[in-house]
Amino acid sequence: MKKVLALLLAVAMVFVLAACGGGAGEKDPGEKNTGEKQVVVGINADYSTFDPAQAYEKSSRMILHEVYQTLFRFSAEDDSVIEKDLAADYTISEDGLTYVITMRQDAKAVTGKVLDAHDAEFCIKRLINLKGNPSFLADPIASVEATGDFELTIKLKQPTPAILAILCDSAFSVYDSDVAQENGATLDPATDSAQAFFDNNSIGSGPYTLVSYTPNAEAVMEKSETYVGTPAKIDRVVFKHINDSSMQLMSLQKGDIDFAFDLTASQLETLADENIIVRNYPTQDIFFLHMNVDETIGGPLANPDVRRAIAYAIDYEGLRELAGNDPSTPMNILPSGFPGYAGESKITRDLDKAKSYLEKAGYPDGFSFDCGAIPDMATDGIAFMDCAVKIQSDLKDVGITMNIQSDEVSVYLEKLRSAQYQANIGMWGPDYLDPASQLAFMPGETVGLRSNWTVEMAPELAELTAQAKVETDPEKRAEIFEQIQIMYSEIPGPVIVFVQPNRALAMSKRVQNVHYSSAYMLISHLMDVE
Amino acid sequence: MVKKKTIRFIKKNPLATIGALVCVLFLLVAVFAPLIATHDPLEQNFSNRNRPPSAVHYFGTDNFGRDVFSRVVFGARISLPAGFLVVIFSCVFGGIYGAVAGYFGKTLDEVLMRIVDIVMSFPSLVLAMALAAVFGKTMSNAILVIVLVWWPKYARMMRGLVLTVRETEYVAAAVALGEKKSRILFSTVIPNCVAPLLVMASADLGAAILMFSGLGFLGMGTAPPAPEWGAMVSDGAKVLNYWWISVFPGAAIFIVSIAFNFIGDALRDLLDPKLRNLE
Amino acid sequence: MSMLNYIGRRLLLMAIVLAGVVVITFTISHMVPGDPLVANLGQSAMSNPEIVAAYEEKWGLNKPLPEQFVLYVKNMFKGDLGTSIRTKRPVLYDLSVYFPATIEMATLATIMSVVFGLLFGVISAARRNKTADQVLRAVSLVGISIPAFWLALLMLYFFYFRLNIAPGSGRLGLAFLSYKSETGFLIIDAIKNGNMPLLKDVFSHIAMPSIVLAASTMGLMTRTVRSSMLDVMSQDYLRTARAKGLTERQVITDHALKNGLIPSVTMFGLSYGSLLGGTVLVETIFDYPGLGWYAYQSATTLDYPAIMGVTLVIAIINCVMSLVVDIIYAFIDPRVRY
Repeated sequence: MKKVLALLLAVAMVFVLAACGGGAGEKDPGEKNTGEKQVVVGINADYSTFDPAQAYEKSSRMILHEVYQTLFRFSAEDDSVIEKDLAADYTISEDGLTYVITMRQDAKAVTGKVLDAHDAEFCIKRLINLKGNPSFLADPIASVEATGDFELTIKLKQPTPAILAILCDSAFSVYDSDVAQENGATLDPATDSAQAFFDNNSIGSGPYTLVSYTPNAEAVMEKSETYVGTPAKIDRVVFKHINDSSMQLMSLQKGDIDFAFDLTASQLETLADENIIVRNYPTQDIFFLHMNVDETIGGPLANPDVRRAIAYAIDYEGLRELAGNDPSTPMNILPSGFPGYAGESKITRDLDKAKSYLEKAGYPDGFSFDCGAIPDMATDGIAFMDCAVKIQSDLKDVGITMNIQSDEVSVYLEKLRSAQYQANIGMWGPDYLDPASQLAFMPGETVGLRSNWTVEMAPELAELTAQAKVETDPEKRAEIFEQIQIMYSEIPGPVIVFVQPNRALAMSKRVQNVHYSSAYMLISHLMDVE
Repeated sequence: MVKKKTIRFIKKNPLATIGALVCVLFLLVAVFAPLIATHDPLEQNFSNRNRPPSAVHYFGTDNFGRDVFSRVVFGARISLPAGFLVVIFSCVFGGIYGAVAGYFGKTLDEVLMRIVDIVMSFPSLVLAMALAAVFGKTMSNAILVIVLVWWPKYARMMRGLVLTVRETEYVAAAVALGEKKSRILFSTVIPNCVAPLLVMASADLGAAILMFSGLGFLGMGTAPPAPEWGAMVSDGAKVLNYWWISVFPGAAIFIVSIAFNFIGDALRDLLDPKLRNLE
Repeated sequence: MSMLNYIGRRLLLMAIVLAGVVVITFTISHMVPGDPLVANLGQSAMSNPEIVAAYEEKWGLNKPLPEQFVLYVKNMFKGDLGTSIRTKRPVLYDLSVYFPATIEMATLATIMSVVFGLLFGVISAARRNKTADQVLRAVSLVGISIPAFWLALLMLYFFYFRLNIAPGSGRLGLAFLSYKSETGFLIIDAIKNGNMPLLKDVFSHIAMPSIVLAASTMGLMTRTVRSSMLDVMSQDYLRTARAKGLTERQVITDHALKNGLIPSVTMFGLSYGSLLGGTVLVETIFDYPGLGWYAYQSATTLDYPAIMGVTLVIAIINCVMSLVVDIIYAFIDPRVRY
């Protein structure tokens, strides 16, 4: 029996040695194979598929945009500029309904096929027919047809000035339709089975190809030899899934990764490392307090003076500090960077004004309300719950009690969609980079209805919205959008925007020429390493 | 005489003694929290965020400039009652359930114990998470959720105890006197089993506090801004450079839980021969 | 009753328990006020009724609950646990990816807790109430009492960040990028192919999470072994042994151990299940792509099929473990007869 004990002890020691001796063997991510350049991106990625007709998560575009080309794309330098990608030229009919797009004839997919209008037709039709998550983007499209080998005709249901911006979305990626069909792609959601294929392969003409994807572990892209543009300089880009932001921080400092995507403001504050730089990139995301204007649900919040009081009670400066990365506070629903932006919010914290509005509304001693927020979730490094906790404390100063309801994302979204929340902390990123995307906040529109804001409640604003949707003249359009923001603040609408954050990207100094666009996030094919 | 006995007990059970002292200390902290805390645990101060421990803020300040020491102190008012309530409710429900199963036996026993098997075969934290999502996140719901996954072990234990007591003379006497079965259960059987059950349950207090803070850490416990220890560790975990935000509340959980376990261990030893096979 | 009869009866009971698990999980996950649809479709997609209808059709969400349940059970018997709404892959596939990772971790953790638990428990019992006993009991109680998530953070901070002797997150390092496992079990892969660098990498990644996971079961194991050893040591036949003039050490190693370790078998079985449950916290912190991680992600997005899959798998393991333990018990403990 003594022997048994000795043996146990030996096993124990061997294990301890194995555990300690293992050590961290992976150092500089660039030196995997000599001569090959590799960049490792640490990200808490939300992508779950790389099928262009199914993927809608923002981070999926970061990969789709590299492996597929679209007809148009946002410039990597300035994402308010739309460039031709697969399109060589295009014409718009007088009525603004018909777009004839001539495609370039030298874009070769990794499969060896030159992508033509028939491929584009199939891809867009598949997007429309599959009724996947991004399919709504194609809502304005009435029909799409290859009217020549390299000529695509798109007809719209009504004039949609935002259509070119919409076509820049990776959902409109063009791929080799023959190979896709060999692997299960069809135009019928009942029979289409190509998603698994798209998740592990790419068949596009972009600067990279997708070589492997292991969910929640990593996605790997390698340089494509068939890309017609300037070839990518990095041979391999690895998107390593790191859920936890503090783990990202540590990995970046250790040199295990080159980019950390999801660092919070306080993490960035502590980053005093000579090998790491932090750059802020503008986003078009807005964070806001969303209040229900239906009296039966919103209670006091349905009163405009109460909303004014709350607007004056919120400490915007504090919230911006919490958000970090030098953010701004737009007037309301239109973020800076869009044409028609009416400037920053002129409201600053003023407790006396807040109190006088409360008195005017008949709540001199304040009131209490419930506010939903998602725990453990952050976008652009800003945690929803942190905003809720800050606003709760701000409102306490004018006697308003805000009870935080911590709801998991699915519960939160369900309550939001059915307009059950008295109030909630919300975030909105535009579906496509065009101010029209923000019209969802208008009365009677998607987000407006989340707070039971109907057309009848603000008919004038609804009228302006209708105009904004179809106005094709850029100057007039910008003017209408400006008016919309001013009117929204006068009413005031159900949403108080408190922060438009910047995306802070912490990166290793060895990475050069980094471009980040709010449409496609990191532009892999432009960067290089020392 | 009494003194001597006490000294002997302390000598024989130094851990239990330390545990008891620490528990009393934390209970006092919970009761007198407003007197001990140096700041309002919820008061934010943005000009003073993420400061390391100092003479003013013993445990430093967090991301909102709140005093971590005061939050840890007030946290005792959440975690300690939560632990007690979890154990009490699980014990009461599980105890009655197990007693009924054990005393009436036969088919009822079979059915009731299969239900216990089902609940016990669930992964408790996963079940608790799903339930927390269903019920919403308040302190009372978090307690309820843990009770829902905890009661079966007391049911099993009680059933075992009842099975042994059922065969004793008191019960035989009561039956001979013609008392009603349900009356015998509550007047004779349960009282005879309560003491060992309570001892076992109190030994679980530490584990209950751990489970509660685990839920808190996952964001499934109390809603912010309540100074719940698990949630505070989770807040601090985001920036380990500001170690004080997570280290102190984590240490509080650890110390309270180990103190209860020191006591529990000694209690278990006292009752060991009788209980071992029932665990 | 013969052994076979006993096993048959237990299997039947196990089926009943599993059926109960399926019913309860299904009910709970469908009771939730949330809607998996909204968690998985964007806001704008949600306002398009056609997309919503297509989605509901695809995932069977438009059918009444009882019908959904029947469908689920039917498919389950065909070996189809449905498709995860979040990952959009078959749940069985997801489980086949995450399950081996967790089993590896839980098994290592169990080995550690058994080895140390036995060692500490036996020593503790032999030196009852002496200093060694007090110290070891304190150590085991530290293991039981330390919050796993806190220990994980501390270890990560010191061993990864400060000392740099352990890697941070995940299951494999970058050196093994897009490594496709043959068996799902990386340790088995490595041993089978004699791939030492892989083995080293796997161990270095799995060490910290499994140590954290082992801490509490190690403590429980020590406690169980100690008390059953004490029990055995007070029994008559050991008194006889002592009377024969054997030393206390001989008494313990030659006589007490054999019988004293029997209860720890039960402990071992029970702890395996609780280890699997404990992986939620540990895997979340270490970003270790395993079952606990998957469970957490699924629970927060109310991914019904995935939640059902995870609970079912863990419940099956729990049931099988307790069955195995009982059978082993019957073999090693002559007092147990069926």
